Amino acid sequence: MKIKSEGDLKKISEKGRKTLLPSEVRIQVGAATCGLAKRAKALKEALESEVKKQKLKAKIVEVGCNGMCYQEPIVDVIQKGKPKITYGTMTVDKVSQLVEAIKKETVLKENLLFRTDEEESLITGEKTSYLSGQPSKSLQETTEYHQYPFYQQQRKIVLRNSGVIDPKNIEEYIGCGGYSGLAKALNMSAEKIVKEVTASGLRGRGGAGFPTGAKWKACQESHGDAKYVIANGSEGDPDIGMHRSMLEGDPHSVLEGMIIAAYAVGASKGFIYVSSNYPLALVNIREAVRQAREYGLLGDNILGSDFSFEVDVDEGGGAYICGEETALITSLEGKYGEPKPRPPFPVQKGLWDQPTVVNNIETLANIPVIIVKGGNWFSSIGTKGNAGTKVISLNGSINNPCLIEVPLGTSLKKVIELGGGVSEGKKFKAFTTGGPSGGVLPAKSASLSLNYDELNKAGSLLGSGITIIDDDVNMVELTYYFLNFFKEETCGKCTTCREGVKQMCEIFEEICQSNGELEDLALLEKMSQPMIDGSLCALGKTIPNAVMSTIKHFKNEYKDYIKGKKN
Amino acid sequence: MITLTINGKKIKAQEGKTILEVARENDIHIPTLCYNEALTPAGNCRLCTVEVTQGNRTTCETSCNYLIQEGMQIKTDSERVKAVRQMVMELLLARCPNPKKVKEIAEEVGVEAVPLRFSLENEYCILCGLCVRSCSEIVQAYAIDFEGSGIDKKVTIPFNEASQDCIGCGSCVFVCPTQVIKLQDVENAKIIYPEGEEDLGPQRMMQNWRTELKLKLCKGCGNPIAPEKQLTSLQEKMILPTEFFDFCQTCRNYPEIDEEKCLGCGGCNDNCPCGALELKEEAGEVKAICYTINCTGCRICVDMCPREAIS
Repeated sequence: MKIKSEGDLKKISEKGRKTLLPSEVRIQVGAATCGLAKRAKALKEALESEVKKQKLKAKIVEVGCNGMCYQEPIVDVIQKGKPKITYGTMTVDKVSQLVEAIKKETVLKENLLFRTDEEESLITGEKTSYLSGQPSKSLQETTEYHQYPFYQQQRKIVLRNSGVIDPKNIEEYIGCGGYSGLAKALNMSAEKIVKEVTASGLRGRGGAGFPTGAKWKACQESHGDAKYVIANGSEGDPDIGMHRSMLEGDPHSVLEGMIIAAYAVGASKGFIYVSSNYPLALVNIREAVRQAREYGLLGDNILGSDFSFEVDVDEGGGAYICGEETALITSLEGKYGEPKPRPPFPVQKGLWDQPTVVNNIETLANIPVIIVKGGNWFSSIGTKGNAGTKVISLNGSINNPCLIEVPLGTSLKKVIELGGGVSEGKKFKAFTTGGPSGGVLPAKSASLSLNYDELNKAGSLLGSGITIIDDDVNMVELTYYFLNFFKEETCGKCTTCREGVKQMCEIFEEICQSNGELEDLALLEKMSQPMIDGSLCALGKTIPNAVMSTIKHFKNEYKDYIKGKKN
Repeated sequence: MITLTINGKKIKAQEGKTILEVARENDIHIPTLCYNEALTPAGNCRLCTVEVTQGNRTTCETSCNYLIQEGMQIKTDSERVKAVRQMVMELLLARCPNPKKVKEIAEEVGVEAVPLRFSLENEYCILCGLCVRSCSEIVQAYAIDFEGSGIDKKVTIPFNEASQDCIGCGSCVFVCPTQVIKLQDVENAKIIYPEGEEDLGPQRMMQNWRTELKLKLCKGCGNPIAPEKQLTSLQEKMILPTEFFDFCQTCRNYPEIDEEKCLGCGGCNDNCPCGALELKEEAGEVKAICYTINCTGCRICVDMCPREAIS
């Protein structure tokens, strides 16, 4: 059905809430990539056949990642009148016990993680009470969601629906207050929306931290035959999957933010650019676009207004450089993904020389919340100049690799604690906050906080994940690994970047084979500044980061290699 | 008009120009490798890097494709700029130690030798992309392009097979700064089989593009003019009679004006596409004359003359 008014939206919302809290049993299986890697598909199939066998009336749905990737596959059980029960590390052989327990209205103690009595929707403020009365005795000892340490420190805005709703069902998204931001925005003037986003202090989540409001305003004021909005879901840092999890778990939040952005800047067409390395994310976002079109949230006269907007999902080849906005644009135009010089900026002359807004998908997912709750509400989260939250993919040498969302300004120490601390028996040596481009920070820098300016000052940047490095890792070899990564990923346009990284790799090869000399370090240092000055885009400009930061903080290890101690 | 400073000197320049254009207009030298006035600047070689201060931000930018803005302060020879240029040339010299142009510019920016640690290659192509741009922008043949990305990038033809699109015009040869693109005209090309030989006649070999093109012979003197494909492509683009492409420059027929028949009406002069015809007053009489150097032999004037004075 096409939604033509706010009344229609409300009707669907009620329908969605009913599927989220049905009279029969609802079993949710975490089936994002992190779950699938731990055989969530097999688990779901086993559950389906077991439910049939034991004649239990239940609906089994796949949901996204709830953050606890280390506990996958996760199963949530929602039963009328009972708290929502979350189980971790479920296996196929425990399925029959689980279904039995559901039938008997008891729990499976072994895999129990926590219970949820009540959930509050971030957007509507409505409370969903799973529990009626008091929890049963066996459940009273189990921690409640709001007291669960992993979630207590977090503040979920971007990941508000991830792991809660079925990403392939638009009605559930609407049931959680989805598209009410869009409905509100369409009743506002474009200038008012940009003002609200500017007031929120939202900064681009791609790494550079450019104020989103200013970007929109510049595009709004540009003139062109057409305007475009691009959602940048291209992510190439090794081992990081933050964008993937977002698109897998809640694609509609990105789409809604994008439609609002298009309305604010006056765009008629949008593109969602996702790397082909993320097959499930692509399936989910494509399905989301299809459903939004079916429900009249895309296309002509959205929600009965005179605003029309279309979206295409584009598959990138997975090149690291295509996360850079101008390279992304050339890639969308069907050319080699190579960056273009700025000015002209994309907001002036972007895709096909028309004004274009390129926003990170995490930035866009924040927009519906900002519209509903107001810019001032958003700017109260985080710290001054760094408003809102940041989704972080925590990995490396850490006990519990996970996906978290914390307010900006949270100290890195706290973030690492959320992941259960550095792997047992290992010594915390260093970490990266911006992938290979951000360089390496030593363990003592963990006193820093998640803050664009603070991390920039320290020589790094705030990317999409934090990788913890322990003392088993040799920094010279790690730098060599980073340089090889860049050697693979450089687009080859600029001499300084293409030839520079090639020669740096050669020098590192010599060092790693214990043929290095002290002069080599001087040469690397000498090469760094001209490489930064001489390269066009952020890729070339950040290659020396990895080299310079490791030479600065771990010079001893280089010296060991040079003396030939290690071999 | 825009006011900016280059090396402390105040300069006024037209809006829409690049830093390099303004610098060259004012006799300020900036070395370049991948720049050609006729082509869109690409900023590939990074040699033309200059230091740009706008407001309180100082950055290094390539002057060939950076547009001038009001109040810009530019330094073309600061230490930072010199360091970039030297690094560019050290890196290029390590890649291509032999081409004359690379050696010359390296010397110009003060690079004597490649750092010992750099690994040397024996490439000739510096990936400036001038050939690619001239082929697509000027010739519009789109026969060559970059293949691959990163350190494996190279200029090539699709699938590395004899090009269907190359017309053998030689523009790529002309613009290449390192002379790596080869063009060879062979008078009597032959394919030799065990059973005998096949005579191909005069051919143009574009060795880099694995393409051989048949040369057309002049109907007058019998010497090769240009590849047949190039002439066909020109014919499609220009409104010229077919015979024009049958003769070489020397044998082409130029209009002969019969002064007795000429009235000096100016019909030929008005319609000449090349401006080769002019009216001249001689002893009170107006007569048409032809400057053959500009004439392409298109014969329009022959058809235009009401008195059939031009042949």
